[in-house]
Amino acid sequence: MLTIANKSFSSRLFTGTGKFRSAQTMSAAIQASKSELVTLAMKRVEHGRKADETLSELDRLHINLLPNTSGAVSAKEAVYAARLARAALDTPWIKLEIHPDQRYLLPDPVETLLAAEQLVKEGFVVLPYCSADPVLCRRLEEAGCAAVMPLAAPIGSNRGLLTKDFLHIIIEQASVPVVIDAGIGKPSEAMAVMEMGADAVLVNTAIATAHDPVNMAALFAQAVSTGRRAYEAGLAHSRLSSSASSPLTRFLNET
Amino acid sequence: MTITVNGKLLDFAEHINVVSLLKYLKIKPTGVAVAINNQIIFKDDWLSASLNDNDNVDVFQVVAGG
Repeated sequence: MLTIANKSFSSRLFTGTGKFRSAQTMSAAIQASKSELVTLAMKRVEHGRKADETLSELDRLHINLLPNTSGAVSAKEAVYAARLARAALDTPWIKLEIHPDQRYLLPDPVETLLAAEQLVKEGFVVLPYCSADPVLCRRLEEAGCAAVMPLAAPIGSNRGLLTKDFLHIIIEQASVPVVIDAGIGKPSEAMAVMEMGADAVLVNTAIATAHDPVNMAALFAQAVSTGRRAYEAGLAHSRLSSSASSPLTRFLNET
Repeated sequence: MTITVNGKLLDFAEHINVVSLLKYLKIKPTGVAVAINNQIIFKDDWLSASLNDNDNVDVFQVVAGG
């Protein structure tokens, strides 16, 4: 069972709610994913725009909500966004994300750490989206973050485990849960990172923009579960040279 | 009285509070957060929080996101 702050999760797959064709598809996919924690964003209300149905759909699922600070480009903006999210949803949980660069949406490590320190002081349960930088993850942990969420690849890129070697180090060193966020494009990649010992993965684009999001959500659920079970079963060591699985008798060569 | 809501200027004949502003804007309160001059107003205070001339109001709502 995975525990983050005061909450326990039986599923190690967290899902995003963005990019789905409809709120109904999102809801069906989340149910198929068995996810117990979903991310949301905050946005200024636009005049005359139809109300967003996301929240009313999620209400029916009785699922834990993780609002994010997406759109913030500095610590100051992220802290403001987090306070707004807490007021809107009555939850102290926040996915802290600060990405000033619109092309790659890579997180700003300095602003993220500053915002994390402030939000922890204000009683937030902070889950920071961050670079796959083991030193930064340590610092975020020391700042009091409830988990760290290093990226596998740029947000929405579906490029998979580009940061694999660094994720290994982060997983080895962290004493808070490590949730691999961003860039996971395939169930096999989710499985691979769970086999490595990640505590959870957060998937949005790979599910939401799949041809069949509901089926893909179920497949991610299977992959995450299988990867975790493999990790718990203790993977056998890999080695460069062979190691015989059968007794090496010589009779085939004997004349 | 003129207030700015999400960057748009709005005129009101009488003093209003946050609840009446949201009603005027036809915004349902679920998943909504309001800040007056960057100060967040919690839902319990929406009725008592009256708006003043030149106030800058941010109205945010929860939407889908990753």
